[in-house]
Amino acid sequence: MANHQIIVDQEKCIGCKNCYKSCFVDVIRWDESSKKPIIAYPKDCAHCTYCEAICPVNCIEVVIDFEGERLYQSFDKHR
Amino acid sequence: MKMNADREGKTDMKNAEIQEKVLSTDVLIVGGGIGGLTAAVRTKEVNPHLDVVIMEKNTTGYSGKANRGGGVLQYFDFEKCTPDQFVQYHVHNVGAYLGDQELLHEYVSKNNEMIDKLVEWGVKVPYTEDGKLKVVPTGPMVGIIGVDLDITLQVRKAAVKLGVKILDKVVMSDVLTSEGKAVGAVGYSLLDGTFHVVKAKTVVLATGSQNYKIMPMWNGRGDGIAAAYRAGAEMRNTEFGNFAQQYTARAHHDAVFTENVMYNALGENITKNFRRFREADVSSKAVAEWYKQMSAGKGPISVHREEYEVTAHGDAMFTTPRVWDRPYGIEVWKRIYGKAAERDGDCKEIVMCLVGEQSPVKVGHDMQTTIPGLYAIGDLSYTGSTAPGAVPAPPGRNRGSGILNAVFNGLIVAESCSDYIEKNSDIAIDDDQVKACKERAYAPLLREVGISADEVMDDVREAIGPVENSVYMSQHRLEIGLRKVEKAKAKVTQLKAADFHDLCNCHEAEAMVLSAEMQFKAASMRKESRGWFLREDYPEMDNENWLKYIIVKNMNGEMVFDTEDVPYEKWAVKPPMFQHGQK
Repeated sequence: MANHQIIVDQEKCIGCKNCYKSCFVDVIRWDESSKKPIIAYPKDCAHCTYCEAICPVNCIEVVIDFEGERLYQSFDKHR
Repeated sequence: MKMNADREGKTDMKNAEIQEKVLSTDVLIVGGGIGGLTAAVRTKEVNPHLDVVIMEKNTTGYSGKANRGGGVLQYFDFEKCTPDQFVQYHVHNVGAYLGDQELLHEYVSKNNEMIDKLVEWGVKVPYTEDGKLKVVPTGPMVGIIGVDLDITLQVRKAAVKLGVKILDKVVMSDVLTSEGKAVGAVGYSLLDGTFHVVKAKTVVLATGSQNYKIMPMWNGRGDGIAAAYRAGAEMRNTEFGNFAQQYTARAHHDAVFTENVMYNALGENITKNFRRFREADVSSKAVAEWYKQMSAGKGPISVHREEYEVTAHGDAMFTTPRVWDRPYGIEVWKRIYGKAAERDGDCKEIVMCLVGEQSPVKVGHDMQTTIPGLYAIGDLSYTGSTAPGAVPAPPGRNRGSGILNAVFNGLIVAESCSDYIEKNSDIAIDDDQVKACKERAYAPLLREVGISADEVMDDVREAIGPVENSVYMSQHRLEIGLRKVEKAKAKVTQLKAADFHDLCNCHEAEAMVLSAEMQFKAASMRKESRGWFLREDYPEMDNENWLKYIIVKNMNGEMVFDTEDVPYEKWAVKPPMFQHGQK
């Protein structure tokens, strides 16, 4: 199973909530008390990179685990 | 079979209080992508007095596929091509005599009007300095226009301005029916599990297609297919849910148009084996060729992008303002394409992968399903409407039609809902049905031990993912796939969820099993090749026996198959054997 990582610089984060809203697969949740994102379900990340692209202060990085992703083909290299 | 003992006790739902919220509306739209948003905005334009609610699994305006693909709108220049001419081309070359020519004709005729509507709602479309749309031709009859990726956010703004209510982070789990008509839907909050009961005079499903979560960006999970099927709605053309295309081997990044420049490990041009001249879209024959070459030990298959003008410039159309200036999209594309390019390096290998795009909910020209008051639009009912013929959901060999088909359907359904509400009296919801739907929805949370959604999803993907099982098919391989799906089906009643996010995964896993079962069984029935649909054991199109649609019905829990004749006699373009008065 792929092990994608979404790294948030919590110090830099200004709490705009854009990353939470833009996540269309419910990977990012929002901590209402701290006003910061919680990376709750990274295994379901579709690595669309929206959260990273629309962060106004560039405090998110999506590290994609390409090798861990499966393609479900019958040839050894592409299983 | 792995039982998840580690999940035990994490969620004590038996004793937990599930909050319940009840809401009434005139129109309930499920899905906040471009189709659902168009339906919402247009309904308020047609009849401002109607209450409209959008129920969306994540965040309306960010969900769906319109804002995550290439952002293109198909364009018809009516000075160069009439709708009749395009329909004729499409029926012969794409739809293979299975398409509803009237619906396709209407889609083409409304093209310029739809683009104007999007612009009116705030969508950013590029123009030249002299005020003309900036069109890139993709063939003699059609072109594409780039649209900025904040398209759905702009339409969301228009919807909110008109008074559409939005219920985000709520997963629709079932459609409610009473007296044979749709009367609402139920769902649960992803955040706190609150059970939502929405009583509605009409329900519009706009939840996308089934993509099996293989190529993860394509996020149709079949929720609407499964809910409509459970409610008793018929499905049509389920066997055409098998879109596949080529991806780069390392980054799994789509390599659109490179099917025109494919080479095997011996350095032979293999595109020549299935295509005489370059075409604007991938075909299942390219997928089959990849499989045949790989099976013969002539892989890996690579692409020579530099040989074709369209692929020679890499991703410049997206990551730079070279063709269209799309500032919002460029920021997104730069990130994702940049990461993919870094990973791919100088590797030219491609791999064919299944995307799926099953879109089988049967609808008429008004977008109504076989259940009165229940409508299905966009990528949920593309092949179910039969508009495209023998191809999977958009792009369906018709690049740029995905967004506009959803807009087209959204415009139609707004009128249909308004008419329906005017002509039908209010029906109460059935409390016993609500209770049963609630029990069904939360069941995976209540199990002490069980199987994970990931395990069931993986079983389905193992069955349907290999392109020789789903795209270049044979009876033997279809039966292997079906046996695997039946094993996955046996696990559905044991799905165990750890929390509400996981509960949603369990429902998605169940929907994937259903879609795959319909796909394999219908594909086994269709003993011919037609359009996108390719069978190694039946390579010819059979107009004698297969000018038919396969219909799938849920009869008291049993999946039943039937056929419907294609009404070609009422359409202008006839299949070859019926031309010149032969039949």
